[in-house]
Amino acid sequence: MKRRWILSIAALIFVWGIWHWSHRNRGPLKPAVEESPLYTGKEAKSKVSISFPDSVKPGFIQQDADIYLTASKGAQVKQLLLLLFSGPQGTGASAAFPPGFKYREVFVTEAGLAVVDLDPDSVKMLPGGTSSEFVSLYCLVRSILDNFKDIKKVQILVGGESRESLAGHIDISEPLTIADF
Amino acid sequence: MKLILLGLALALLIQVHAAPTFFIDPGHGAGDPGAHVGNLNEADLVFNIATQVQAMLEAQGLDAVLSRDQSTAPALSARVAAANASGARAFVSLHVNFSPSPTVHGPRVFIARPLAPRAKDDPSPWDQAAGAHSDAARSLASALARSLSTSDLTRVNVQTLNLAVLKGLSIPGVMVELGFLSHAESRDRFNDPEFLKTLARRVAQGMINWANSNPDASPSDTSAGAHP
Repeated sequence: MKRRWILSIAALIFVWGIWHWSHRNRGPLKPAVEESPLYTGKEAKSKVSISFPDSVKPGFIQQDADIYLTASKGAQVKQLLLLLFSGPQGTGASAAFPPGFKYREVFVTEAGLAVVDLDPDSVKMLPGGTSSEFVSLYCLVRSILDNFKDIKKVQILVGGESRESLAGHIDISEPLTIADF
Repeated sequence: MKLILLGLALALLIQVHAAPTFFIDPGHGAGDPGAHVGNLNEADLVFNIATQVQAMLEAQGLDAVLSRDQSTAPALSARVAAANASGARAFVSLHVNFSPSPTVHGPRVFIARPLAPRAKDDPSPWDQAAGAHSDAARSLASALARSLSTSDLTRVNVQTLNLAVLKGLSIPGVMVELGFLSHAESRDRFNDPEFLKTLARRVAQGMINWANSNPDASPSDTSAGAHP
């Protein structure tokens, strides 16, 4: 009887172990917040120009802002994207992304490709429509390419994966340049 | 032998007859509402308009098939594959737009970016197949733009854009954005079934006009109905 109990408990532990092992990488996606600071605040600052849609007529407006010149180019691009996602200052420009929009990760390759991995829940917040999607992508790509001359293309991912489009229209399956707009 | 040839000819005739003239793609679908404001969503609006366009075309002897029903939302590449396999002469994707600028309004007509100049021995890549039909796509887009350019809908121009739903098409393809849900007055009109019918008439008329000017489409001299 005692042996049967021990075997049952051992079997349960074994099943739990298998289940735990198979689910170890299936947790929620990494939250799109920085777990470590992007900069110390001791780095030199650099002016960047960020593109936003004109709030009155079709077209775009550039607003200046500062980022810290961190050693990591990816961290510099992240600072720029946080400014873009937080929206324009003052009047005359509209937000290119909905409030609370986030990236999951950003990195820059030696070949001049910036990979911007967007948070899937944030992408679901996009309002849809070709024009709105165009505006979001244009502002993102142009803001990066205008300020980082060694970055030539931007690859958009969503949740770590390549997508046909952000919201059903513009092709983002391949890296984008300004010539794509 | 005569019977075999007759059978082959009949099969060919049936095949030709079975091929629709147009492949109509109502954008988005179940679980993917597209642009949406209040009780209005793009997926339902364009499905409503697409079914009306299909009926108007068929009433004039032009066959048309839809890319989806109300319970599905195929991937963009699946819509393209289905269009290529359908034997249709042209692809028209219907959408409703949204802009961060609330004053922007009116329809838009898009075609794929034309092929970049290539070396003679460099074959066209599959994903730019639609570029090979850029002239036909532009003529269809122009017909749709003319039909949608009315005094109350403003003038419509044809624009080129890197659109996923036109990527890999082996037939002429056009995307039509019928108006902006972000524009208050347009939004009110999208609530009116008569306005949706008007849009459907104008889209159908543009497609019929294009088919009439295309000798292979063999339509009769038709009209989708008078403009209101």
